[in-house]
Amino acid sequence: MEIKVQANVLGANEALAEQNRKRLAEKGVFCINIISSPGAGKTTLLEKTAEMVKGRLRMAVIEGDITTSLDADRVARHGVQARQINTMGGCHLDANMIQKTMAEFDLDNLDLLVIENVGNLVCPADFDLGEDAKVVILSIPEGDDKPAKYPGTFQKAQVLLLNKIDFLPVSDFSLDRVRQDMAGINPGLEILEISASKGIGMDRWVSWLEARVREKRVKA
Amino acid sequence: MHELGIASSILDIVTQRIQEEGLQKINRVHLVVGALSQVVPDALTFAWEAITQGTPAANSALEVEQRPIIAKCHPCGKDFTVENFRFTCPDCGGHDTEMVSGDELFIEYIDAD
Repeated sequence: MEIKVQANVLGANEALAEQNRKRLAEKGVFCINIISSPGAGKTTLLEKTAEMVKGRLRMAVIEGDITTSLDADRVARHGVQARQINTMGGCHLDANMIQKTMAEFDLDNLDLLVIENVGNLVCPADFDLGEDAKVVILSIPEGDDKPAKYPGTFQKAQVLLLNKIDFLPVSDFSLDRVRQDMAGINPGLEILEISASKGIGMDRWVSWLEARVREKRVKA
Repeated sequence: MHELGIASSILDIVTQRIQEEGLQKINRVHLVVGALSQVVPDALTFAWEAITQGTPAANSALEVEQRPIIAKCHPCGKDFTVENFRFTCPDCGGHDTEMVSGDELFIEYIDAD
């Protein structure tokens, strides 16, 4: 016999993500989920961001990696609270992992929670963590065809950071191509050109973050 | 590539459902997958065959129905099918559009005895 089910396969994850979102809203903590390929510069971005917001924003970081605590150790050196999640082979973070890790932070004394997802341009986009915004990093050496090849991830982002912009003169990367592709895939997207390691364009990125943190705090 | 985890979630949901219905064996599971959901049907059916061995869903068919992305053009007020992940209105060429559906991943029905 045929039985109607109508059940969301990721329903369990989405229910936990909603709980995370509600908790963050109550505490007025702005949360971003950073997604990119391995090596695009996620951790360097966080190190520089931590230095720039020091004394202005209370920031904490959740690092997702298959194994090692290398990234959490790097970020913690900049004076922010950092926790490492090891997925032991898993290709993405899920809302359950975030819920457990969030419980280790004092959310009353936090303005910004940054989740650095596992380096992967495919799987992390399918798993809501309860964040306010997904931020995708595409670095210039990866090539300008990535939005066209991985549209699912780029479609769900609110901000695209084009990192390692200082490599532009020695690369055939076309900013126009990315802008044209993104106009079709995700028209409302904010695109910022940065070099986290050289400090280029970082003021605009931090301004974007600070404005969102203020909005979130007002609503809480 | 988290198809094994997805297959495992599907198995949990359908196993619970047949228990509620007092049934023993799952013959067929019909899954709806939107084009924006980054699931690979072949990998999913392969994972399904592997994890259902020795369960009430052993030897069952996992049917994957793929649905396109549908978006709405705000100025035109019309829905359109998104081709190649381009959210551009085919009538006016505008980008003031919003996704209506296309990231779904749900079990629509099962056949069980």
